[in-house]
Amino acid sequence: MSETNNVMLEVQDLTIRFGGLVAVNAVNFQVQKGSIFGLIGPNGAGKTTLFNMISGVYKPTSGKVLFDGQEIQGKPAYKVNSLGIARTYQNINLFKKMTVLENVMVGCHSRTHCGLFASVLRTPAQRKEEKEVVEKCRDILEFMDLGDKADFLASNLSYGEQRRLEISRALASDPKMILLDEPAAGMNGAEKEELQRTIRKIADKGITVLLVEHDMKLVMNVTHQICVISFGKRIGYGTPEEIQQNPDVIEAYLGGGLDV
Amino acid sequence: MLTLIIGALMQGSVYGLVGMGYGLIYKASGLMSLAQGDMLMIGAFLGMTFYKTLHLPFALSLLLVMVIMFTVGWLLERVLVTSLLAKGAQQVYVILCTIAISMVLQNVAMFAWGSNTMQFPPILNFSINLFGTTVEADRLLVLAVGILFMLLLHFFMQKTRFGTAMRAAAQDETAASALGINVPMTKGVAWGLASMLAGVAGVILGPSYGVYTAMGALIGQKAFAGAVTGGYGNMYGAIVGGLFLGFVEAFCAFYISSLYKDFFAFGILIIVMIFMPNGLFKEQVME
Amino acid sequence: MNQNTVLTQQKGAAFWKKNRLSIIAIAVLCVAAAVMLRTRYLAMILDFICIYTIAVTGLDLLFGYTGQVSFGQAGFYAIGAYTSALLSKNLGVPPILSIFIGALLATVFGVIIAFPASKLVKHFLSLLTIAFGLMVYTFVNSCSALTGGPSGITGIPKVSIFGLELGSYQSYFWLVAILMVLVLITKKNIINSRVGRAFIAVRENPHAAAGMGINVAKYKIMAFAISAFAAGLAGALYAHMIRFISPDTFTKDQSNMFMTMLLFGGIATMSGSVIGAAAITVMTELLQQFAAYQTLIYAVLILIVLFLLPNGTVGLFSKLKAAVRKRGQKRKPGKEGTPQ
Repeated sequence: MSETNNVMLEVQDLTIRFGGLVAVNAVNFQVQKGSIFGLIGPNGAGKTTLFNMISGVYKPTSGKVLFDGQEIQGKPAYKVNSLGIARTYQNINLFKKMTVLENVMVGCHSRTHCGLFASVLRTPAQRKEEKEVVEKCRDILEFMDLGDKADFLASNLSYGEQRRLEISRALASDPKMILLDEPAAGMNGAEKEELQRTIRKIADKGITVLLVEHDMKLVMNVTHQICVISFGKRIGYGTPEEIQQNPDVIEAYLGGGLDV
Repeated sequence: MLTLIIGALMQGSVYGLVGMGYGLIYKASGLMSLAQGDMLMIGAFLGMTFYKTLHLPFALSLLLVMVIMFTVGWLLERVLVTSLLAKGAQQVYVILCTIAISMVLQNVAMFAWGSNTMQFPPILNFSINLFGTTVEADRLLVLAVGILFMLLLHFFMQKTRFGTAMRAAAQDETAASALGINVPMTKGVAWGLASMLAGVAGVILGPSYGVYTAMGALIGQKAFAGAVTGGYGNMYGAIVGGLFLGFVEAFCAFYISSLYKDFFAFGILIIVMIFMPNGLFKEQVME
Repeated sequence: MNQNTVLTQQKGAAFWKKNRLSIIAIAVLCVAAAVMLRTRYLAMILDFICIYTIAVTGLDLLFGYTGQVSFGQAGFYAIGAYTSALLSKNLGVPPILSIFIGALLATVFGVIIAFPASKLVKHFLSLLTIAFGLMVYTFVNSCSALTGGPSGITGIPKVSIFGLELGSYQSYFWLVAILMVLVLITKKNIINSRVGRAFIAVRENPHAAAGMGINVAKYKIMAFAISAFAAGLAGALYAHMIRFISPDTFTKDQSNMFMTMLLFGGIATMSGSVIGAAAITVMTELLQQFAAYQTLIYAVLILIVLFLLPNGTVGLFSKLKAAVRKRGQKRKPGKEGTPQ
């Protein structure tokens, strides 16, 4: 009983087909509240597809996604976000012509309420909300070390900064869980170290982290639990230590990719 | 009744011809041209000039129109559209560009031929008795030429090497160019063919319609409604959709009022877009 | 107390520095308007500029900010004009009320069109809006019983507010100018709000917008509704200004004209829609003697904007400003470049 209450996300027999191709086949896993969970696998294994099903981009063919005990599979992406799941994208998806601050402010969308008429009339409630949003977003930018870049256009940031801005924007919706899709892609060693600290800081705030990543060192260092998928199927599930011993996983990576 | 059906078929095959052009352009370049109707109008004026003013044989006039219209369409794509896209313009700007071109074409026609309706002399100056109804041969010619060009285009796309190359380029540009297909060339040719088809439609329509600067605008829009109804980007869909629209119009004009036929034509377009945006022959239009 | 005045002065100075260009521009415009209002003909041009600015501002929120194209604004313009004209002429509704009913009816149609439109990709959206514009046009042209058909509606009542009749172009100016300013303020408030950010997010990246909790379809529909309201309002104001309407005003050329104005001024800016509406209106009037080639003039303007001024006149100004600033910086090294 108490165990189920500690589960943030549960994926049950999740399957999706595109035409004849089964991209994800009956995958199961559980993510504990407050933990950092890794989702790994060779290229094209279906990790991002899984992410897209959890975050509402794709509707699964069958299976369930339980978030905090509630079924969310097939819900549109914007509803999933307002329920408390925020995400970043593998190929950076920022609002390029908005400033850094505005990007984060968009992230607050599902936690704020003022609509068209309040905005047109600039009601006191709307002004108060705007002020709070700006303050909150500046805090998040400070937290993510982007405070001095607030007024830059998003497209003028460096690659690593853009990745951090994606995380900032996701944090702005006060998520219970954050999905990070290959946040270390294209980062150098120092930036990866920094990212590792950031992920821990996020988890320390009580936000559950679900991480898709290619960089094994990062995953093994930072996660509590790992699920390995290959060709859409789960081939390993356990703590980082267990995964490193798992013969199926080692085979899937041909012994090459797992040296930590 | 027979007159009605022949009228519908005639109108429908014109819509089909022009509509196929929309489909070709969309398939080959993923873009939209709104100048098709005015290409038809220019074709009609050119045909009239060659046939009536210069007294050239009809077949030669038609051929000349085809060559000129192909060049116009090809240049439009190669010169204007390509350079717009090279500047990183959105697709909407290409549409706007073709709108501007259609305005320019109308004005050019007004400069060159004046703004009065002109008489296109009959091509086949006789009538045929068909099941007790007399039908002017020119109306049947529209139908015959329409079907002929649809078949020609079908064979060109399916059986010739160039047609195959065009279809390949439409499916996957990168793969096609890796196979040595000149992709920009296929796009230019598609635009050229589209305006050629419109030009042909203009010439054969001339005798029964009269030639004037605004003649293309409405036909272009109807053809476009037909193309959407059939499934935008599908050439065969454009033909079926065009014929369907021809019938709707003819019967609406006969049984309700000719005043409302345009209203119904565009009403169908909107209803199709709301309830089955993929058209009769499914083409992907949703995000 | 002393400190307070100093603070206010500083604040005032900062405000002046930040907005001096706009303040000078508005002052010049006011003087120009005052001069123009002395002549009936020039007052008419001013009225047109205000009316077009209202329609173009709505289109800018739709196209410039939300990224949804519409080539059918003339349809909403016509709905506003005909609704208000018929209500006030045939049913005796006070024009000042019927104008808003017209705008609201246009909004309703905007929402109806927006439902399918919110799901369509770009060029099919263009198609749908074109079809909508054509359908409205053919309707007003053919439904003679209601709209008077091709000969239109004459004798549309004058607007009067509190017993004050706005019969001349000069007096009408105050109505359209106030409404224009209100529309511009509305636009400014929207784009600096949660709703405006959602609009821009939808334009920039609809997938990411949905991922951030934005109901993309809802905001597309909202943008359509706003633009339809603005176009309907402009149409109704037009009807009571000229006091005669006929289908000729509501062709697709009118839709294209709104688009040309917006592009010429510059999309997604505050001043762009005003500059565009004013410039094109004045140009059309100056070239009145070539009225037969009016569409050619629009066509050439569209091509100029597409090929030479991709960011409109406003874009040209900011480019010039940036160039001037750059030269200034070269002389004063050490000054940090401004972000953006």
